[in-house]
Amino acid sequence: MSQTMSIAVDPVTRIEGHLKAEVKVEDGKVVDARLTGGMYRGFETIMKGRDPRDASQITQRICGVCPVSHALASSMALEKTAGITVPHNGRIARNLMQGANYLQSHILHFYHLAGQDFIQGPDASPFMPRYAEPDLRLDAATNAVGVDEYLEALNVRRTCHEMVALLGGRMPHLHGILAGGAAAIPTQAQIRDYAERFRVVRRFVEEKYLPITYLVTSKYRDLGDTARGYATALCMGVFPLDDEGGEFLFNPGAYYEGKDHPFDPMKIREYMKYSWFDDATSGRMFSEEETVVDVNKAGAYSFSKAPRYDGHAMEVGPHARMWVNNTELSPIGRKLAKELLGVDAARIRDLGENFVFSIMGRHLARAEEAWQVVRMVEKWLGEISPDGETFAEFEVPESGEGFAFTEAPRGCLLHYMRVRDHKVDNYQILPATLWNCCPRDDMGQRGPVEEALIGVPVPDASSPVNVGRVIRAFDP
Amino acid sequence: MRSGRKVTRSGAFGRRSRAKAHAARAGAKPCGTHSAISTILQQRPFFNDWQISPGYGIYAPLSGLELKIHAEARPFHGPDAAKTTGLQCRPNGIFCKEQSMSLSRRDFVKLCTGTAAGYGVSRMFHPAVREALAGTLTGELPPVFWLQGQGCTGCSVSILNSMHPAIAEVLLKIISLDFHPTIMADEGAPAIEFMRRRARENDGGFFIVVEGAVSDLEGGRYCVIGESGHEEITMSSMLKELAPHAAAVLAVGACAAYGGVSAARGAVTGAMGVGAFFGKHGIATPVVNIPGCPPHPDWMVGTLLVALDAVKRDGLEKGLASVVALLDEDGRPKPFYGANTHENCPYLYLFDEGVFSEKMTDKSGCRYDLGCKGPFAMCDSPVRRWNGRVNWCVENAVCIGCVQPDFPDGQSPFYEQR
Ligand code: SF4
Ligand code: SF4
Ligand SMILES: [Fe+2]
Repeated sequence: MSQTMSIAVDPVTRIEGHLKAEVKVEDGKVVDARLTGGMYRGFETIMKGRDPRDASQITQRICGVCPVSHALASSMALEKTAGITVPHNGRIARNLMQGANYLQSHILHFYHLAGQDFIQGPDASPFMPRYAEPDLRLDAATNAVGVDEYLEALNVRRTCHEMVALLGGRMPHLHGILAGGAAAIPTQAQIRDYAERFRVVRRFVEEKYLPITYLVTSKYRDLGDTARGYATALCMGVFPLDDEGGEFLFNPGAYYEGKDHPFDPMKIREYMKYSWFDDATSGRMFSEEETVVDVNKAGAYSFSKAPRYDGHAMEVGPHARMWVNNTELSPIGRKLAKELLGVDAARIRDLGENFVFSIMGRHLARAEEAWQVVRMVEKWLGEISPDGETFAEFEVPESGEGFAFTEAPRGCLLHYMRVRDHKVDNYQILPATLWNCCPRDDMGQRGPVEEALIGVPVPDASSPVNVGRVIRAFDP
Repeated sequence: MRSGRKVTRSGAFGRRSRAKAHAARAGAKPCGTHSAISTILQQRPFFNDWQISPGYGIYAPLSGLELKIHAEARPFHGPDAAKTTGLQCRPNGIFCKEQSMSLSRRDFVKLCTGTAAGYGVSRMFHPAVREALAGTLTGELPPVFWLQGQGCTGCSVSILNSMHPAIAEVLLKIISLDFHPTIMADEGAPAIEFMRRRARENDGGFFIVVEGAVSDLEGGRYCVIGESGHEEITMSSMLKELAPHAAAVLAVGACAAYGGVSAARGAVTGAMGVGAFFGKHGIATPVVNIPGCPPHPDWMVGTLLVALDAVKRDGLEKGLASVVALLDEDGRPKPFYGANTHENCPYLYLFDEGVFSEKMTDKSGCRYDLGCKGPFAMCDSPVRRWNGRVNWCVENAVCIGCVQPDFPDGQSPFYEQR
């Protein structure tokens, strides 16, 4: 006889935003899951009627962890609308700001958000209380290293913010990225100060962040085989390597049904059946979308819409970018994969689909991606110039439309704007968390994290640690 | 060298009187700082050898009769800088005139706007004061609950950047952060129930920090913050439940203070600031607004420390009254928000000389024509600077007036002068 019970976790903590998870557990395993995005502000309607240039400031307020990505996407959408190109030095400066914030975000995520899933902090708030059975497996010495690194990482992520601020004015919510390019041509002193700080961050990623991720993975091998979900991946492209936007550090692409596909934005649709939005707006492309909230809609359970790509629910984020590009692993990572995990791997796919699409696989991909960013920041530091123009002047067009893609640290980001009478007429945003943490679509298909929760062990209903672990591995 | 456009006298005066009028409307008193700097620069030409750039070099913050001068010693300023100027060297590479390290709360106003601005907030307090903060209210670290309404978590991320004191010190030695959705270990109903228990145990003696706006439309369902005993808990219901029992509420960020972007034109959720929400629901707990989008970490940590310190010394009622006495008419602590941004801007002399940048990347002029809202804003960012003091808003681009009650609608378009 099987026993079914329903468990609600609300709030899911150590994430950005308001999220509730409701799982049905049978015989100690999750058999069904629902995720509820519990907060709504409505940036689409707030943007309407504004000066299109203000989008880079207003839309940064969507997320205090990845404002740089929103500033970029909104600026690029207007640059497309106005038909202008950002000067070479402006692209490099933007990459350096975005790169530093990736490092900030990934380090914050692993240590300060997800970290306590594996590490026991000091015996005081906010580290205590916690679930009675937290399933902590690190020995005392390793745990102590984890706590030390938690504290050190507070300084390192702050240092990353200083790097962004050197080029972007302040963080969070920078001033330095706006339509046209970068607001300031970095001075020699700023480049030097950035590089100085970068060395500290680089050392931390190589000597602390990467090793501890592999170490923790080796102690939680079963979580490297948990939460496979759909094993789909979407990347829209980020960190342009040329001024035309043809080549990226992470190139766009899609992966589903076990196959690679080229990325085609026209295949994106957003569904509303289970979302608190008007059904009449369901199934549309972003350029035809309208945002009509309806918090009393029967059957709906989330403020998140359900985006689909060619009908598929897609996972986004570092593991998806790395998977789509089959990115190579760091030298340290290769060594540790062999020593600690017993795997010979040169590239991410060598770790196997089952591992990469797991709790630990997603963490590991994020750490490896941090190393990729470190590698490229080094290169961009050699390319940035104190003499090169970073900003192209332009007139806001009377009318037009444009959309742009980038990748926030936590996944795909799309901004679309339509301009009429020099004002925003329609604005649409499709951020990463919508892809990962969405509810079911009109066809009844679960969202990617909902699906990843299926089969996850919850042996003790009063300590459902693995539910939070799955969700946090996506960094929503 | 300057490529900024030099405008005719009348043009410059036109802007100046406009900006001055706005500054006056924003509650600023012209302070003479700018002329003091000019005088010093004239009298002490050696400052010129320091390659003092308008962005980080010398500045003279508003401090009433006492003018204090700092210059950040960049490596290229040379080792003799201290000797030549008679300024004292500080371990963090900052030179300043000797200052008293024994600071009482009475000095707070002066210090926040004065010399301590460059050091974060810890130097505002004598170490003994900081020690005394531990155990403020109940013999334990004072309980703080951080609630998130309709916001972006940017205020939380900003406070993580606190340097003096470092955020780890705040968390481990100064407060007991019993609820914070972004960093606490616990989750779900147990986390909510723990907060409720701590509130009962410390009735009247805990602090609530609110980040994000609050809405009571549709039963508050635009922002659900948790569930306990199968009951949905909205941000508005949680605030109504806990706030009457709190010693005080800190509304951090533009959203919590005044509604901010969450309540901007076009928003349909009925989002509002904490003060407005309390007014509507008859909650009498004192609210301290710490606006900014996000606020500087010093503004948040500094205000929290001052409040804890005041309560420790003078007891709850008198202590809080002295904190409330520090607030301006928009509910902001004057020590941080008492000075007009424009009046303290290092580019004010360019404004006065009528040299205005016409292009975003041209940093040789005042940014007024690019849309700078400094004349309408009240914050100490030009003096305090951001992120380890490496930069600030206007040095990089323009001020967007993010500390003002009418941000963003009244401060935008951001890249046009209004
Ligand atoms: S840059 Fe802005 S704050 Fe500074 S002087 Fe000019 S208008 Fe005033
Ligand atoms: S200078 Fe302007 S944009 Fe910067 S913090 Fe102050 S009010 Fe906000
Ligand atoms: Fe984000």
